[in-house]
Amino acid sequence: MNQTMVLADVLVPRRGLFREITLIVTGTLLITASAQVRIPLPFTPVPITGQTFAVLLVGAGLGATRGVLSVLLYLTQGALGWPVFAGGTGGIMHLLGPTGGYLVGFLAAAWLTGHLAERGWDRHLSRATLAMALGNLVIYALGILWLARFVGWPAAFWQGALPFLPGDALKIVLAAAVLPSMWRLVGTWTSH
Amino acid sequence: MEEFEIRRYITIGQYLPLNSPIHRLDPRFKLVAFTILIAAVTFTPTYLGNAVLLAIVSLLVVVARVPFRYALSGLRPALPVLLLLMALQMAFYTEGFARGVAGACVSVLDLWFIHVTTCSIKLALVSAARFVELLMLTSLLTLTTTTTELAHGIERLFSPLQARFNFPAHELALIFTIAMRFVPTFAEELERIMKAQVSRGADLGQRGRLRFIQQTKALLPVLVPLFMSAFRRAEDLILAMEARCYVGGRGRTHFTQLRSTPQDYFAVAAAFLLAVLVLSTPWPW
Repeated sequence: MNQTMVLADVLVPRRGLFREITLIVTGTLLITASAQVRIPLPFTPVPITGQTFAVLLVGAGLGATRGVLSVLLYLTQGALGWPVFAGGTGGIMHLLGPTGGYLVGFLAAAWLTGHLAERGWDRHLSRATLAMALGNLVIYALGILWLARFVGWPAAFWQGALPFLPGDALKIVLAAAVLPSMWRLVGTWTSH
Repeated sequence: MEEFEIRRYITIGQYLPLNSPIHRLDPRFKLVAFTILIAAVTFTPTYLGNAVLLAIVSLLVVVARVPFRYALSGLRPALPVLLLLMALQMAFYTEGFARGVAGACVSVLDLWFIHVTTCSIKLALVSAARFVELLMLTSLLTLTTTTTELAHGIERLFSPLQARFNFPAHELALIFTIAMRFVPTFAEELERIMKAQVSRGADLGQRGRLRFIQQTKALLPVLVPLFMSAFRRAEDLILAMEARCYVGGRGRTHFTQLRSTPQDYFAVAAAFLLAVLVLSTPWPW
């Protein structure tokens, strides 16, 4: 186990319980804010929203444990009815309903990208892209499995994965570009 | 500039300061009672059962004196997804319910790849009813409880776990309070960054169906500063808390003490009884 530091460790050097608390909250807020950003795509009714994107980034930026707790807090807020999910929605029905699997998949994805970032995968574009793609794959897997319980098998794939693919491909590249850029910025900050 | 008004979308703290029996409930008991009702809604797969639950939830909205417009305000943003899923369920779901609903499925419409059966119609309608019931329940909870009360209630509910298993109940409540407090600050920050980049010529706001790659690329100079400033803010917050000698929950007392009244016990008992009744009744449809 050769753990390297994740972004949060470097940017917030002050140690202790408060660091964990504020970082978890920060992650949740980042997901909330990004979930409200949307770009419409011409060829599918599903827009790009920043939600999955932010989950992957928060996992990588905070590390596995904090990332998972951050996503858990986000989901709990949503379940309590705070309008934090994409498009200003919220409520426990989003978790129990057909799309709940994607939300649960966020937990696994944040853990995975966090785990990979702790091994330094977030420092270079190629590995970061791979990490983000793997994280996204986890979200799909859980999302579709859950959706299939509601709409049956082939439909779950055609409706649950296909329309999202182009948007997610763009998001993966964007997320993978953000991480090394932040590391470069950190480098210039810490040098003076 | 309208698309940058992030703050408008994230409105947390929709508390309606009214005086109703539901507003007056102790948050601990309210949380437990609502959890029981949510469980009842989740495990009721029948038309009649859901009709009864819908009536119960509507009655609660009336008792809370909350206008239905408010209780249902979350429906509009969720409607497109809800309708799409209903259509999918009706058209493609053939195997019957995974569990819970017995009875034969009668085919209603059979067109090439679309198979509408009585089962798939039931699934779609019951899911939609469930969605509305859960929406009303969660909105009712946030409309009748302040976030402070909610955090306090959560803390007290989990405090037995703190004593026994060292579960961080106080820290959990703190997390909720901070998260709520910083949502507007954060939305403002995002707005500020977006406007700053646009004023430097970034291509964020302009609409266009085929410009999604440019639009995605334009997000990069927004996201990097957003994440970086978020981490800086976290560092500032830690410093501010330490400067004020905050040391966590140990030995800390509360300004407001939660006191349970007979009404609180009644509310939980009533919720429990209703849930047991609804779940144990063999609804004919």
